[in-house]
Amino acid sequence: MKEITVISGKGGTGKTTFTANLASLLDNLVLGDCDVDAPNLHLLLNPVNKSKETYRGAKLAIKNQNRCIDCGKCYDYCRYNAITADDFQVNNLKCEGCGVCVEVCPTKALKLESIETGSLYQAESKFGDMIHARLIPGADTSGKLVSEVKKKASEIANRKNKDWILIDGSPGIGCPVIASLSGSDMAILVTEPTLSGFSDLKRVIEVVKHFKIPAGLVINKYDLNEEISEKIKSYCRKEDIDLLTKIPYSRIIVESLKRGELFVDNDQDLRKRMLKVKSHLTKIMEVE
Amino acid sequence: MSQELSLSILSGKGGTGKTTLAVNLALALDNVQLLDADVEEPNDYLFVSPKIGEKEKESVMRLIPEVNDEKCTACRKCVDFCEYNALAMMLDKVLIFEEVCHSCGGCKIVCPENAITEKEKELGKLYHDSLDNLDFWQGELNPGEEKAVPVIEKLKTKIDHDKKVIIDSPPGTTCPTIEAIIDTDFTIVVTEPSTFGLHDLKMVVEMLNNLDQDFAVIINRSESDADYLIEDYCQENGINILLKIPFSRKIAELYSNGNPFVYELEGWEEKFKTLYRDIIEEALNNERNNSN
Amino acid sequence: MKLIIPAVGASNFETEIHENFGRANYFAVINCENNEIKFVNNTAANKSSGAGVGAAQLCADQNADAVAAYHFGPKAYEALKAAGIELLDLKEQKLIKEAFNDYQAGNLTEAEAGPGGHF
Repeated sequence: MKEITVISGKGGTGKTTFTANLASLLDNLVLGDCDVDAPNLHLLLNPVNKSKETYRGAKLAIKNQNRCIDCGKCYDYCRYNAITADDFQVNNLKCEGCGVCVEVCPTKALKLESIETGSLYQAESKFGDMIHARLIPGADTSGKLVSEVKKKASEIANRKNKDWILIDGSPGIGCPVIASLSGSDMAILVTEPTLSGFSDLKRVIEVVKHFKIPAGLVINKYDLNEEISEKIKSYCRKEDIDLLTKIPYSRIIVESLKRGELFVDNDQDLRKRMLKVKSHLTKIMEVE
Repeated sequence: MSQELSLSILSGKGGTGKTTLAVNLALALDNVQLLDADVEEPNDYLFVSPKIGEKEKESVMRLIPEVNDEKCTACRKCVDFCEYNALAMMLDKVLIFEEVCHSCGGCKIVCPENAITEKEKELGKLYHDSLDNLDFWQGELNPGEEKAVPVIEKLKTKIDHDKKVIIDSPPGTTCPTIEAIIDTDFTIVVTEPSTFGLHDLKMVVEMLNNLDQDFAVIINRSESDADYLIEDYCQENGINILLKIPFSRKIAELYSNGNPFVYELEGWEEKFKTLYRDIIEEALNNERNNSN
Repeated sequence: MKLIIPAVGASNFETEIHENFGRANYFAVINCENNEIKFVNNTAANKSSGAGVGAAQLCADQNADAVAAYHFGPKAYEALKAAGIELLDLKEQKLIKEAFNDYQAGNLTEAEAGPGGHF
């Protein structure tokens, strides 16, 4: 069983579309959508949710107004501007749940409580079980929720003897991306030939190198700027990252997306390009 | 509004065209300040100041605990207090893990021996470049650091209210995004006419409504047979669409080379100037409606 | 000698090894002198970050001499080393008893600091 995580650095390079189309070509897999801030995979795969779990990812300070003597110590000590200056109320958006106000309050009017910050779904898609999750807007600690998604996907894959765990990773380079990559056997980097895309790709490669996870490159919309495509390809080769496939800037992909369809079903050339990725994966994963 | 307007640019989804809009709008106007608050992956510099790394910069610091081993009695109060597992006690010595420390100062407070002091650590940087038509600031989070909000807070102290302010915000609906938009007069949400675009637009609208923030929408990569996805939703919810930037390979190619299209393609400078006037009118209308 | 292994369940030697050290459900604490096994809850997993550190703290508090896992994040590694605890590498073993048998036979090698995973 192998875990493949698809990441991009920059958002909007086509990571999720790529993941959905790859999923249709692999056999015996479990899917995980780890982009918990803005999950999109379910829009293409239309999974049916079988269960929902509440995610309690953070703590907040809660105030018992009856005990408050308005001394303002909580306001003085809070480093996140999470206590209002006039009436010493907790601002839930800013509170980090650190517990300092709880500690300094002379009348024990404050305490920390776990709060619901998101939901975790176990679902079935036509390509296999799918785990996805959603954070409440303004909520933090997406890294931990990403870990929960991966954990569930892993459990199911083990139980049902699946060959692949395919993870749609988070964009960016922070905590959620690291959580998406943790324990993976391979990373697929989906990029676009733009200066912004290249710049963000370099940052995400640093993260992948840190993990010592083998990686493969996919250049989406490669013919938009062949010069930058070549630069990206050579840069990656120096980093021991092979090009798995390149996908052209194609109307067919745009039209397929509009209709909520997979482009591999609508065009033979595009299908062949994606099958290259599948054969790369199968080859790499066998040589162990 | 006696001061100039402050505007934040937002998108639910990365890669929708936030930077495209922020940069091109800023370049079409006079007396403008552009702040790139997408501190995890700042990109505006590629279009307005490619050599920003060589320009003036200042550090954004945060505080990390330091333990005086001589005063420490290994009582473990600091370890037990920390909500983030940033402290551990091994063989009666306190270990500190800076990456997960949230700089709350709590360990220092609970230590009965005053054995904990704090030292500064760089969290990120602010860069500044003053160009002819544009005052440009960039916030950047150091790799490995998580907390974007303090960097954005520091960036916002550079706002010059005598200028037209444009803040390029981080995508999504998390805390850094909220920090970037919260004190601005008006927000522009950039979206694209697709199921992904609509899904993420709805998320952002929910957040903006919760924050009571005035906003309007701009469709990027607009196509006549797909725009309905966004138009229908906006109409149902009383949201104004102020501009459509068409799906154009030419624009995409220029973007790929870090070339803002406002000067290259005819008519766009005027379109952006008009957009800005429309934004001001929209903002004034909302102000009037809110006070009624 | 005391050996600790992250575990999925809290029953006995037939329990599966947990793939993640920091966020394991339980820790199997094995007394190598008399082959007795007990399980402790991994309270570190509840915190939003630094699970590896918290788990390492737990192991140190249990007076572990050695810890065996599939991989250790850099912080867990640092913390366990600072506590003077031996870190051992697991590979194909699936159940606690397999890991324990390999340990007793001296077949486990020293683990390296794992990459990334800073929580």
